[in-house]
Amino acid sequence: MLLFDTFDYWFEVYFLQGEKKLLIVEGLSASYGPVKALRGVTMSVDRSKITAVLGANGAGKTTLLRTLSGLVKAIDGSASIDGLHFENKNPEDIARMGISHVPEGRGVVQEMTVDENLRLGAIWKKDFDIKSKLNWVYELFPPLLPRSAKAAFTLSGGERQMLAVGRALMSEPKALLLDEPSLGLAPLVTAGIMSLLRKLCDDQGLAVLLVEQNARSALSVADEAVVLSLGEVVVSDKASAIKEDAALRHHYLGF
Amino acid sequence: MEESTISGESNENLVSEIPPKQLDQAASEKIKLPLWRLPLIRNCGIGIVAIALFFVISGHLSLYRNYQLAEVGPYILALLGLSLLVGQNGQISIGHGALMAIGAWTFALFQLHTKLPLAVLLILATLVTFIFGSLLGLVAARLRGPYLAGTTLALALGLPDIATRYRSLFGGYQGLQITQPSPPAFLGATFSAQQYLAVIDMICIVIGIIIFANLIRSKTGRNMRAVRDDEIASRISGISVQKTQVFAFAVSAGAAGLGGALLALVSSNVSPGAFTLTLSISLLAGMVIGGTGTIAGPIWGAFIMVYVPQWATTATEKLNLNQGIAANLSLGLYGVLLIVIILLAPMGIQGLLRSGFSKVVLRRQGKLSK
Amino acid sequence: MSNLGNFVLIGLSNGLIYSVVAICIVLIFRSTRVINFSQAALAMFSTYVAVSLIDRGVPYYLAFLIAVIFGFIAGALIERFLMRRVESKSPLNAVIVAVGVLITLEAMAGVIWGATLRNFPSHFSLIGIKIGKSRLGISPFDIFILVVVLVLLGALVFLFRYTKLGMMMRASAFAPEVARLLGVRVGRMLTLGWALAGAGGAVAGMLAAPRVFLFPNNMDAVLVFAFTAAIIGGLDSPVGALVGGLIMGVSLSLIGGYLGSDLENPGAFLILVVVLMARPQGLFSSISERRV
Repeated sequence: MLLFDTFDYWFEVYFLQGEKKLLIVEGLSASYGPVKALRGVTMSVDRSKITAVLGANGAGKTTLLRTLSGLVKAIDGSASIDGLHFENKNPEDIARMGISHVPEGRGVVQEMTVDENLRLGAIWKKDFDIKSKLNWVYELFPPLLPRSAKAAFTLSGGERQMLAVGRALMSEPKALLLDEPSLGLAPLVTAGIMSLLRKLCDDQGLAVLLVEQNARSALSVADEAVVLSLGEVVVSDKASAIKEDAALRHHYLGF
Repeated sequence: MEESTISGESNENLVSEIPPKQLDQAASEKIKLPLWRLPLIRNCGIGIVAIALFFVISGHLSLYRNYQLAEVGPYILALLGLSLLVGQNGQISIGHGALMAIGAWTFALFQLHTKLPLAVLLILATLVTFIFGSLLGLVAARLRGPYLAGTTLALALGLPDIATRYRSLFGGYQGLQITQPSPPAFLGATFSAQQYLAVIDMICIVIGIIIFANLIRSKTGRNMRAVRDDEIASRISGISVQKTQVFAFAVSAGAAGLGGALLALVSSNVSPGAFTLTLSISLLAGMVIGGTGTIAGPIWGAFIMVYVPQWATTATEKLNLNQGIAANLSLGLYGVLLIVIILLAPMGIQGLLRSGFSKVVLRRQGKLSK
Repeated sequence: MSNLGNFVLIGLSNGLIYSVVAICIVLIFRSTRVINFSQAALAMFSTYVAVSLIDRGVPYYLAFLIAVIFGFIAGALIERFLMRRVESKSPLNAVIVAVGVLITLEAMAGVIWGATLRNFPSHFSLIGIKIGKSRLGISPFDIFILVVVLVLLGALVFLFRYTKLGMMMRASAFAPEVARLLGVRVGRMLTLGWALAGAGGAVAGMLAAPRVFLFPNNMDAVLVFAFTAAIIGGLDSPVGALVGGLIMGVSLSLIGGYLGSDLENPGAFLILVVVLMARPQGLFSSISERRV
């Protein structure tokens, strides 16, 4: 048994790596002025997998996402998606390479309508059937449909999160970066969004990088997990393994 | 727990200068500082020395140089006021030219109709503008950023027209004449009127700077900065946002009023043409260029406001062009310089000096490689 | 026709010009939080370009078009090479740079075309239309102003409501960071916004010139009134800017007509204070809603 397990593992590592790994981050560093927020983060995100990024306040979780999407300039290291490097690119170009970042606090454009927000999601795409994509998002998130002509600031917190995720999906991204999607939402709404993401991962090969403060719930949906502390990766493992490591949990995740 | 005996006015200043050992003592017993280390007394001392020094230096300068220095003074005061308002309290005013006008006309009217001594006239001008400023401050406290900027801009545009409209009182386009004071006899016969003006300026500036320096270190000054940075947080901490803003506006106006009165005195005339919208806008530019919110900034700013246009004019006059073109060229030069200075020194000249200075210090200490 | 009616009509016609400049101010303020003082100089400069073309025999409408294109390009250049460098810093710095541009352009116009007042050849009559025996307060030129402003507003509404480009511009203005994450090239949108404001300024300059004559700072007063109009309207609302411009135009015309023209400027201050004391965010601002 042991032999076969090991064989499986090496087979994966040697032969399936190129296929499985979508996002590869190596030695990524970033800083805000003199404060180093990321110190050489190395990790990867697999296709069809949800990878959770966990850690305490100030561990660098949000900075990691902001650096990946280009909002914060990396001072060192590399990042690539499907083998294409993007560490020095602008956010708009990174978005066009298939990385959708849903920022913390549900970054919807409040003054614009729900419909406009969704259209904005794929606005740079040329020769794109935006109508059918819109319908698809409205099917994914039925509560948005009756509100399509309303300004986004009239939506409830949960609806805004749906709108933000829906908009991010409009451009058919390869990777979705989610920052604290559960913040301020009812657990039921969060669960709904999570199960939907799970389905998209399985069906369409979407990779999700999920930043969460609430480690317990994040570990229950994620496949893989990365624990950050003071801008460095402390552990990177299967989510289930981290869940079972009591010492690790106590030390870094506080439960 | 007797640490509260350190007065709120000065502890910010003191704590940093006292070695830890003394600080421990301070916690257990009342702090006793030598008198000369109290900020107010120290600043006054420096001020008196500065005035005396200036008095001696100005005696060796030509009449023209003295006059030039006297010309700069009023703007230093107005910029001090503006800098306090914008830099410390975060309220933007494009109407300080109008406040200078109020000070100037107050000075002129009182000089015309009463026989009060010069110092009283200057104080009256400051006081009237202070009161007007507190009324305007009540309006200003309800407005934010560009809304306040626009309102003060409209004031700067509108106020000079009142003077032309009510000719009999304010003198119309020609304005009112001001009699320049002759130097008191005890200064000697060689003491020129120009030097006297420069010294009066200097005294007012020193008083202005001392008030500014003490104000920003006081509780009120801290409140102002708190209000500037976060109104809601200040309110939660028990600071009256409105009171702070009105007070800042009033003090700022008072300084501008004094500046206006001095400007009237130096140019021996008050007319609407001297207090146009352009003045208000160049005050704002002078403040930013000098270094917003700093003590030295207004001095740089005022010198630039007065000398750069003069310098640009002399520079273009040398080209022997016809007059219209030369005048426009010097104006253009001024405009380009404004842009260039802001691009090169976003924190103003004082900011530039400060960063340069700290770099030198760091290099000395070997903390900065090359 | 009564005096009152005429004052109102003249006020509306002036107000439309304030509205155009106010909308340009709003356009830039929404996206960069900068009050663009250089707007006046751009308008003036474009008008000078047009008038020197007309002097050389270029037809009016073509010259008008070229002036607008000139304003468009000049606006874009100013944003790309000057404002871009100060936008991220304190807004006051950007304002001072805009003032620097204003002074520089006005001086340049003075050098190129001379600082003297000159008449602007109006393509339409400035004399009131005759109906029966009485003359109306509006002239054919006023009607031309109305048509041009309506076309301009229609074009802007169409751009912002119904085109992809307009949607990207709005998103860049409201939420630049989010817009970038969605693949919108925000930098280009800002340049485009300044370019449009420059073009709008050129239109306003062309429309204002026959009334205020042409000299290097002929648009300064218009700019100040337009700024107050934009504030009355709420600074981030184009509709507010339109309404604010009309309010300013009519009230200034009434003040000038009944109380004397030297009270127009103090009047502008009073109107502003009265409106802002009632609504400190202006009449049409959506900022308070947004903060909810």
